[in-house]
Amino acid sequence: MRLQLIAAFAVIASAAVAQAQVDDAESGAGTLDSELALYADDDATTVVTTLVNADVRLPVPVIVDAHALVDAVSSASVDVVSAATPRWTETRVELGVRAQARFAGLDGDLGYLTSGENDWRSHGVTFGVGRDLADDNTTLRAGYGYTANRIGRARDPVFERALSVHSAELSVAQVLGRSTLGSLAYTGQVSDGYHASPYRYVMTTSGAAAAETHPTDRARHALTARVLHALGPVTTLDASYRVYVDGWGVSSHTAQLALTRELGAALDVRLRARGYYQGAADFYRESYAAPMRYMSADRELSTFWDAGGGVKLAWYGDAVEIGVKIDGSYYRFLDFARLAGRVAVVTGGGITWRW
Amino acid sequence: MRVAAVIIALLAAAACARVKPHQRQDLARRSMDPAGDRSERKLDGHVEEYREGSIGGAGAGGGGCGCN
Repeated sequence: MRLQLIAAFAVIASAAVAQAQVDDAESGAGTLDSELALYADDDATTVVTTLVNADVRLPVPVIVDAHALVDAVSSASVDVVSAATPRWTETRVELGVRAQARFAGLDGDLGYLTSGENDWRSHGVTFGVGRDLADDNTTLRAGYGYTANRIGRARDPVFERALSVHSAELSVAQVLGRSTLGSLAYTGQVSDGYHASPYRYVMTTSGAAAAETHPTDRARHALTARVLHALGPVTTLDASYRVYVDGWGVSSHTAQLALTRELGAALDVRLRARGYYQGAADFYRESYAAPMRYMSADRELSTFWDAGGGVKLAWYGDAVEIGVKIDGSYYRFLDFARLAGRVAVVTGGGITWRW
Repeated sequence: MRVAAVIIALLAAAACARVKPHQRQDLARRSMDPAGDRSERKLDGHVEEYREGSIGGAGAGGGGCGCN
C-alpha cells in the first residue's frame, strides 16, 4: 500500500527537476523507454516492477509524456506473518500523463496520476514551474502536488479510510565552475487522514494484540545538497547528502557517492555507494507495556541503518540507449528483534529509443 | 530560515562563477546531467522509500511514505 504514496510523490519530484526542453525539440520528436527491475530480499519478499514511459513533442510547443507502471509484489515477511496473515501477492497499476510547455520564459508542467490495487485507490495532480537565470548558470524550480487516497481492507467491504497529501518541492541548481554543478532541493509534505496499516497489530507485554494507531497528521521536511564534478576528461563524481525530519520524531541522514567513467564514446560504467541512518518515531515500540494513544510496530518507523552499492553499465547509440545494473543493500534494525538484518538485491535494465 | 540562507549563499556564488556556453564542455557531459536516467531514478526511489521512513529531497531521490 505504501507504494501508492511513493509513486504519487515521485511524480511531483520529477516535475520539479524536469528539464522542459520544449524549445529544443522538433515537432514529432520523442522517446520510448522501457525498464524492468527485480527486488528480492532474504525476508521472503520479491517485487517485479515494469515501467514504460513515452514522450512526444506536439506540433504546438508542448511535450506530452505518459507512463504505465506495474508492481507485482509477493511477500511472506516476518512483518505480515507476525500479523497472522499468510504470504500475500498483490498487483498495483499506476498510470500517469503530463504536459510540459514554455511560456513567458518559464518551463511549466501539469500532470495527473492514478493508481490502484485491491485495497487502495489514488488520484493525484501535480504542477511545476522553472526558470533559468544568470545566463543559464542558475535554475530555479518549484512544484506542488496533491494526492487523494482511499484505503480499504481486503475481505472487509465496510472498511474505508481517506488520506490526503500536499507536497511541495523547491530547488536551485547552480553552475559553480567550468567542471562543477551544485544543487539544493527542499521537499515539504503535509498529510492528513489514515496513516496506519489496517493489517498490522502491536503487541502488549500482557500478550494482547491491539490495532496499530498513527497520528492523523504528519508534516515532513527533507533537504538535499548535491555536487556533480568532472574529475578529468572521462570521470564524473556525483555526491549528495540529505537530512530529513518529520513531526512524528523520525529523522534520517542519507549520503550517496557515485563515480561514472566513460569507457569509450558510447559506453559508461558507474560505481555507486549509499548509506542511510534513521532514528525512530516517538511512539514506535516493538511491544507496549500498556495501550497508548499512538502505537506502531512498523519497522520502517524504527531505528535502523542500511548501506549498499552497485554497478551500472550504459551504452549510448545514435537512437538507442541500453542500461543494466545490479545493486545490493544490507539493512540493520536496531530495535526490531524479529528481524535483526536483511539483505536485498535489486537488478534490472532498460532500453530507450529516440526518434 | 536555514534553507533560505543556504539558497542565498548558493545564489551568491553564482556571481563569482558565471560560466559562458563555450566553457561548458565538461558540464555538457552526459554523466553531468543532474536529471540522469529518469526511469532509473523513479525505480530507485520506489525501492528506497518503500524500505525507509523518509521522503523527498529529489536532488538525490524521490519521495514516499513511512505510514504503513
